[in-house]
Amino acid sequence: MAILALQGRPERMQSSRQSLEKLLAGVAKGDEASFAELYQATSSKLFAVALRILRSREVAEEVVQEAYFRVWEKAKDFNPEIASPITWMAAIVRNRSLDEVRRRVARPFADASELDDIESEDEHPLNAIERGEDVVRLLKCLEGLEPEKKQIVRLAYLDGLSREALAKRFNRPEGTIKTWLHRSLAQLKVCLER
Amino acid sequence: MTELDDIDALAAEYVLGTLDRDERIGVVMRRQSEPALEAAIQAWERRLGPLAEVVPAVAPPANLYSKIRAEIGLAQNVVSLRSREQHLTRRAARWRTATMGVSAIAAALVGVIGWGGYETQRLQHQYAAALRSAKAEQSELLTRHAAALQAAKAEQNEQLAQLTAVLQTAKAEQDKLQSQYKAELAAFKAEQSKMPTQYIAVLQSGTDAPAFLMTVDTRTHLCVISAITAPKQPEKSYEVWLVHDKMPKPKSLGVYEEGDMRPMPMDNGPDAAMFMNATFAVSLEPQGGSPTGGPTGPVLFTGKLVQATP
Repeated sequence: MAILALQGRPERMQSSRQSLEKLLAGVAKGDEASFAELYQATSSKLFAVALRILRSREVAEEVVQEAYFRVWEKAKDFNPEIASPITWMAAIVRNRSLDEVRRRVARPFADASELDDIESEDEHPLNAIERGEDVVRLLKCLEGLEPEKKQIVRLAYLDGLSREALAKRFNRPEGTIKTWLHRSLAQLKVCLER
Repeated sequence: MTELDDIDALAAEYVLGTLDRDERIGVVMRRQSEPALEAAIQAWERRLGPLAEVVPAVAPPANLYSKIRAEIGLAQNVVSLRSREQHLTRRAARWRTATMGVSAIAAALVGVIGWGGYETQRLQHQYAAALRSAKAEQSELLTRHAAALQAAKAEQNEQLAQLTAVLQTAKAEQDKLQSQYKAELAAFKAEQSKMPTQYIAVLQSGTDAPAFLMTVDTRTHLCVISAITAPKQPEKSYEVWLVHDKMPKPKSLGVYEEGDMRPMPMDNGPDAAMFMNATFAVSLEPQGGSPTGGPTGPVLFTGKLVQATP
């Protein structure tokens, strides 16, 4: 069963990526039906990404609304040779979310326990079967980092913690965090290009 | 271990999300003009992007799509609704014609008419629904416009208030300057009023006692002559003359009437500067003054103006 799923996966991922590309091409031409379908296929993922960084449904909703508006306007600029549709859209949502969270100087949650809760909120293991090749490879490379550094990368990417916030959380000077980040990122880069 | 170069490290941290607000703004501004940075960002988005997929999906609020759609397609929506409206209207009209035709042909085809009526009604409902949503869309549009207008107005008001404040300040400044100027002018005038305006000429013969005293007021432009020790000359008149190098002949200022301090306006005579430098002379003339317009009798007394007030 697992083998079957594994065999089926790359093809499915491929088709999912291709269908999203097709939808984006439709959106680029101003086709509303394509846009509706694209929203159906991606909104819960993108809303989750925004929510995790912003920790407010209300703000996440605003950000996602703006992001889809941008997707509608910028679909013409999407280049499938540079990015996958979901990466491209997620980047838009993440950038808007990060800008917003940095703009709101005081984060509404500083409670570490709350952070812990959210941190553990990863995808259900069952869903892992659906994971694409690139996800699997990235997670594998992350495993190559020391536990603390892996955690830092995840907290930064998924929860939007700044260097300053990470420094506080790990009780280290910001400079140390910066060095760790640069080393971890360099290691990831090497691992991913392998 | 390989190190990231500066651009790569900046791009990686930007994508990772660890930069602070100012650094992020810096990257956003630079990436448009620095292809190397842009490429590095895209590469890092490709590398780290898959991590976003481990976040478990969360369904957004149910009405989010309609909000987005409203935002992106306000105009389009209204247009498409309008065309749908027209389409439905046309169809309804066709059905009306058809049902009328059918009713004219035979009342026996009640079923057809009934169905046609039902269809008409259904279309009318559809039409009404389309109209309602178009209206709702329109009212939302109007609300948005009103809000935008209000914001614009508020901004305009603020600008106006600012402008008014600036104007007021400018005016206050001007008023201040004006009152300063007025005060200075008044002070100057006060100063000027203290300045010497009275001139006096003692008309005498040689070193004898003064015979006549002549005063000139430069402000009132009057010159007054009075006799001091000048002896009375029966059947004769004293006439006052103004003598100056620049004048071909003496000019009469008037005949002295005894016991009289008759003011003689300077305006009638030569200009003030000349007046100040002139020599004044008194000649003895036949009663009533010189018959020729020039002195005919002996010049008895002469004198020049000197400043009388300090």
